[in-house]
Amino acid sequence: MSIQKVQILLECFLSSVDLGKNRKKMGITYAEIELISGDDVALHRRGYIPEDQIKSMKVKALVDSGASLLIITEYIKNQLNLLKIDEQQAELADGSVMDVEVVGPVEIRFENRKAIVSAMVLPNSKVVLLGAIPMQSMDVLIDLKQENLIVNPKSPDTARMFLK
Amino acid sequence: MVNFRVGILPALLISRLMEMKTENMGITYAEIELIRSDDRALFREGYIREDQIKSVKVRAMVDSGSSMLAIPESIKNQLNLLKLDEKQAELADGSILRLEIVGPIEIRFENRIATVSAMVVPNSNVVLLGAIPMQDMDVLIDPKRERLIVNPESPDIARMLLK
Repeated sequence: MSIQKVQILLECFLSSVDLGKNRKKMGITYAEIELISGDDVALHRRGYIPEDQIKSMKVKALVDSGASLLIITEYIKNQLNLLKIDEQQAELADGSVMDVEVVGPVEIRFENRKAIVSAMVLPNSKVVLLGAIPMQSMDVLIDLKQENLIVNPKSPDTARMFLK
Repeated sequence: MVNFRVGILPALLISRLMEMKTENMGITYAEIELIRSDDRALFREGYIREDQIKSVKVRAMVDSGSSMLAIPESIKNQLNLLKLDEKQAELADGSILRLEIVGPIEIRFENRIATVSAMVVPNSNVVLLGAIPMQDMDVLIDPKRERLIVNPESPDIARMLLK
């Protein structure tokens, strides 16, 4: 094995250790979700592009019941080539209000659930926040003790919505 | 007597409407009670009466994205909480604030109790119930019903992990 290879392996190992440490901290729950470009899904359905050209990415999202929407980074917006559809205001925990871009549609997949939502793009942020509305739409529960997002055990096979 | 009833109904309706107004954009709120732990200790040791224990009932925003309990200045003053420490808090936009840590506070939600310290957020008027107190109380968040629920696997008493 060459020295370069060893160096690369070592770097990979160190970065994975570091990420692991960063991701499980202070009681915060993360969930593995897949984000898919909604436009690409539509184009595929209509036969314009093959399935393997649908842009998607897997991310570890911070489960945030205190956020309303899905919140993504500039990087993900560019990767999925999402279009701006609106501008909205976002209120942060210290009461400050900022104008942010809303892009979409984004399809979110988590285990057997999916939701189609629009997302806020937060500049200078490095995390994806999975907010309340997408979680409502997927019918999931947050188990804080286990630091896990779980599909609603009362309706495990399919999301059950209220129509009342 | 009749007038009294007529008077109280619209007031109830208005307060109900105000409650509904705060339940916006899918966010879950929970009715919790915050109690000054020092007062409980003083009461246990016989220095004060039970009715002198300072406590406040609040409608807290259930926030799995925040680590600790976060309270506004007004609640810190109401419960006469002492500063224990200072910590940094990172907001969603990546900015970092230096905040005061006060405590101890006893949180009660349904049949659950947790004793924690809290971050004081100036210029804020909401209480955020963060992940650590919720872990301690062994509760689940049901975003669809916008409800905080005690863990159905252990409804009568919080079950912790010891592994």
